[in-house]
Amino acid sequence: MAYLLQQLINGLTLGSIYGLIAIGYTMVYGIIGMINFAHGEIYMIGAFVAIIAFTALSNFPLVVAILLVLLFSMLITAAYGWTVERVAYRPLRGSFRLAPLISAIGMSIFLQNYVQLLQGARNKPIQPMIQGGFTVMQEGEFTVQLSYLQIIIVVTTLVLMTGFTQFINTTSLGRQQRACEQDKTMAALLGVNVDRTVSMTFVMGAALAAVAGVMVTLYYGVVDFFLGFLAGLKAFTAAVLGGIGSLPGAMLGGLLIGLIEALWAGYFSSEWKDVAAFAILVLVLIFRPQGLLGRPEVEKV
Amino acid sequence: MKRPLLTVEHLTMRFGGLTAVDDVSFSAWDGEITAIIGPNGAGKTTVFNCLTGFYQPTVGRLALDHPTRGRFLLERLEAYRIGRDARVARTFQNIRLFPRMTVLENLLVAQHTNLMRASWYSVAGLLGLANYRHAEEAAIEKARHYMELANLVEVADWQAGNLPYGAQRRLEIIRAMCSDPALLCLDEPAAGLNPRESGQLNDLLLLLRQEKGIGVLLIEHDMSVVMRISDHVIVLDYGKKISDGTPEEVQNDPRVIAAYLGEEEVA
Amino acid sequence: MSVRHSAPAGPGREAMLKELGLTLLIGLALCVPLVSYQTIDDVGGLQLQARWPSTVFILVALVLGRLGIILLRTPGKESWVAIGGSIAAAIGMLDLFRDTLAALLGIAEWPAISPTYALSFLLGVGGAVLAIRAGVRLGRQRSSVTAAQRDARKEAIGEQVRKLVSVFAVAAVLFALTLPFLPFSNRYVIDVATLIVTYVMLGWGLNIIVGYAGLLDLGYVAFYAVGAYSYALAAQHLGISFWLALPFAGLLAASFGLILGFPVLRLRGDYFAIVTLGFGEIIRIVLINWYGVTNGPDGISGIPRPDFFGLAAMSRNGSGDLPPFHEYFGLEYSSEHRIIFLYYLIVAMAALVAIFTVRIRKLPIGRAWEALREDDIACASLGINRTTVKLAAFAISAAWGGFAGAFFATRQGFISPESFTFIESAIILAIVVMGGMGSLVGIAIAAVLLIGLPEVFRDLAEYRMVAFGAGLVMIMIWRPRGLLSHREPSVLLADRMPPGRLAPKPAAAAGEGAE
Repeated sequence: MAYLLQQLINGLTLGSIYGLIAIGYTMVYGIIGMINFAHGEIYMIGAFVAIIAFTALSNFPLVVAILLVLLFSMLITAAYGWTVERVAYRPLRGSFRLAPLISAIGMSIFLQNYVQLLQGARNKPIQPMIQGGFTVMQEGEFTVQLSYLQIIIVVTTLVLMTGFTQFINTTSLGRQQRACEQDKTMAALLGVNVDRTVSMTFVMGAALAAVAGVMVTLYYGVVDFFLGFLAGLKAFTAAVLGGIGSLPGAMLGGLLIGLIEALWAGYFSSEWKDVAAFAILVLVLIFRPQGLLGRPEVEKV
Repeated sequence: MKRPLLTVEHLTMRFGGLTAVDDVSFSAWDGEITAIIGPNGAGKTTVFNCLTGFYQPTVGRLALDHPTRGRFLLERLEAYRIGRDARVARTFQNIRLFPRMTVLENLLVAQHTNLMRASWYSVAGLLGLANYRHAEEAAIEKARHYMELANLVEVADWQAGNLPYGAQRRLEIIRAMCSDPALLCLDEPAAGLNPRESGQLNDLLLLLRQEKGIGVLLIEHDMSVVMRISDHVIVLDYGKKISDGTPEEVQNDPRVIAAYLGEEEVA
Repeated sequence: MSVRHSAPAGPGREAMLKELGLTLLIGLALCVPLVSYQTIDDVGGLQLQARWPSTVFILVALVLGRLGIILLRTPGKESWVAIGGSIAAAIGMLDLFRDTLAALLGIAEWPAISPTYALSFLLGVGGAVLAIRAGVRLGRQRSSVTAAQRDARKEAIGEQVRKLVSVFAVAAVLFALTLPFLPFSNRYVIDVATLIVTYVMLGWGLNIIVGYAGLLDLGYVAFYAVGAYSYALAAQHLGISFWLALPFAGLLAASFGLILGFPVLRLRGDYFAIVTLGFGEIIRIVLINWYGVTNGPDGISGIPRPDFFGLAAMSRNGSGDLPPFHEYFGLEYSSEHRIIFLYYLIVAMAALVAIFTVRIRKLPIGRAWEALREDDIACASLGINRTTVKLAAFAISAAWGGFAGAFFATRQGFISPESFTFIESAIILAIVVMGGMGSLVGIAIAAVLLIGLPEVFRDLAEYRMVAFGAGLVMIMIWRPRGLLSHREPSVLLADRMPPGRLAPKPAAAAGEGAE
């Protein structure tokens, strides 16, 4: 029981991070119908910016440092998100249907190796910054820990998610985004700047991925240039599982993937946990391609 | 009395809350051109999509009595089996050719089922056996025959995507013909054609009906085409059938006039 | 008469400054922590090392480059861009080769303007591209050629290229066949050639599913792995010879293709791509973790080499009851015999794929693949069972991957899961995409470029994957149909008709290369 609770806590934390990345996939898919394969790399860049910034700000008070790093990483990563769209995807609108995906794969490989080239191939560790937590439960030898960091991660995610959903639902930019999702031509005719709206979608997705990057840096205390590949695939799985195109779906999918992974690693073996994630991806796509909260697609004749 | 080629009974198609086709029944015979007309959004293309297996009808029975192959219940078949077994072929409102393949290649793809069998599922073809070579020869001959009917022999080796619009329409029709259909469904074949191209199209359709004796189901907006070539007209409005008969009968049906011109004009 | 392009009037000064400011801002954000600071592992934890010279250089170059692009669109300013671009290109090139030049001229090395070689290179290339584009614009304005004439000329060039391609193909085949006996040939050359031909074969195999059927398979390496492991395991545990195992490696890979393909082939294009990627990763993780069978990350070593068609062994002392190759043929022993034998083996296997591909393309199944790529709904309406047609492509593609995998295992003598990562799939895919999906010659050229060049420029290995990723993006932007995009019809009515009966192809028909 105690063990299960601990795995649930860990899974929830991990799931929050996946959820934040998954939003980027889902929004981009919703608006231009492509899988932004490089999104995992954007998240990796967020983590790298965070680790550099934490090192630079090591003399600052902890709370100030975290807030500054969060803001800084979101800003820088958003610039990367914007640039990726501008350079690798925008010129391809109207090209043949697999072109954006191939370009995205190229971008993903580029960014991975670009960071490796600039920062080296080795793991980058930092000192743990937030330690301690609550003991939730004691069962024999086993203590269930809920660390402050886990609380911070889950709460930050919840706050961001709520704020973000509110943003999409109430602001004019959010409305333009939803309009572009429905019909880009019509939106353009009605005066929506489609290019700008798509750009902003990438910027927002990247900023949220940056938050995930900062959180993961704090949580694991180590980053490397390959970090984005697996996390990106799992977050994509989360987006598909929740129903691609749906914001609450992305969050739900993220949490589920986090939980499944934690439980799998806890009860079976951690070597096979990635297989679990991929197997879910394959099964969902085959049996329920619209995901849990998405709408089914009809073949257009 | 002769059995109809196609019998549609109580066809209904709902998308969520919208009823696109509402309890429509009609028949089509071979050797005849049956036109389905009606204002935009009347559900004509939806009927086609149900007939050719791209939509699964909510309710209804779509029976095809092939003169030699027997009876097929189309609502139970997958799209490709409707083409392959029941031999219903179709064209699309926004032309769907294989644009980077040549005209001749388009026509050979349409004979896939026959050629596949003749090539022993590629084995004989890979070995270059004579039986496959003969089958391919015959297929090309057939394609050439249709290209002659549609006046496309000259451009046989052009990429389909580079043909003028009217020629693309004609190609799509003879491509459907190459698959040996018993029923040919044409979705607005005259849309976007200029008067000359439209005339060529009429000639082609009349020729096909006369020569092949197959049934043709035609969705059309251009009344001059419909009235000139069809034997039988069905009128849909808001998903319901409002009239059914010869062109003259339909032309004078007050409900049809109302549907096209608006209620108040009749009142 | 000069034909002016109706370029939009140049942007105003204010808009220009705004655009440059935006470029600077974005450039700053892209550079500031990632380029300007390097993280260094130190005893006391991470340290930062500033790289400001590079950062400032990049920012200046970025803003100037942007200015160049803006001016390029401003009529009358092209010559400035041409001059500026040429200067940048010259600086870059001088920096890049300054040690060689200094030595040649016998003078002392001068201080470089660009901080690193990579930046010199980028400066040189960027400047050259700007200068060339400006030059082309200027040339167009001066000449009296109309757009239509230019198209016609392009068309003629395209026709020439197409003729050259067939000549080139014959030459390439002859070259491949005689390579081991050419004067410059040595062990290293044959090794590289063997590697290249392996990738040519993989590219041709993947081409069936990607180039013809139009399905993006991101997990092709899985079949390569299945082929490699099935031969390695069969040889190790059952003592089965290479020649016996080869067909089984292909069949096993094909069966894998069928099993994996059946559920996923009805998925939409991009979902299909991601699922194949997932399968590729699953197979790799299984190879790593199924220690009992695959020996995990340590891999399998001591995989036997193929014998000479059961007649002789390709080793110095023979093996079992087989005499050594050199004795069997009465030759002097040379360690190169085996290398050459392996080279011809892969050339023969690749040739088999090529012949198969050329033939199947003209069969109904091949045409159905291409039709499916063009419009799968139309295919269904013509009675083509999309699932089985795709499945056939998937299985055949997988089989070729399996054959190549068995060859890989026997050539290396050692395999481990590390050889079968996603990057490997991406490289094979890039070969197909870059070559021009569907074009065998194009794919072979792309394999030479993507596999051969990195071998030649070994010193630049660290830049290989960066260039590779960027290259993939650039191909999609500038030549989405690949280097050789011309599609040869699988059958021509003209061949069966008296000449002159058919209309000549329209200009646009062959102009697809320019899209």
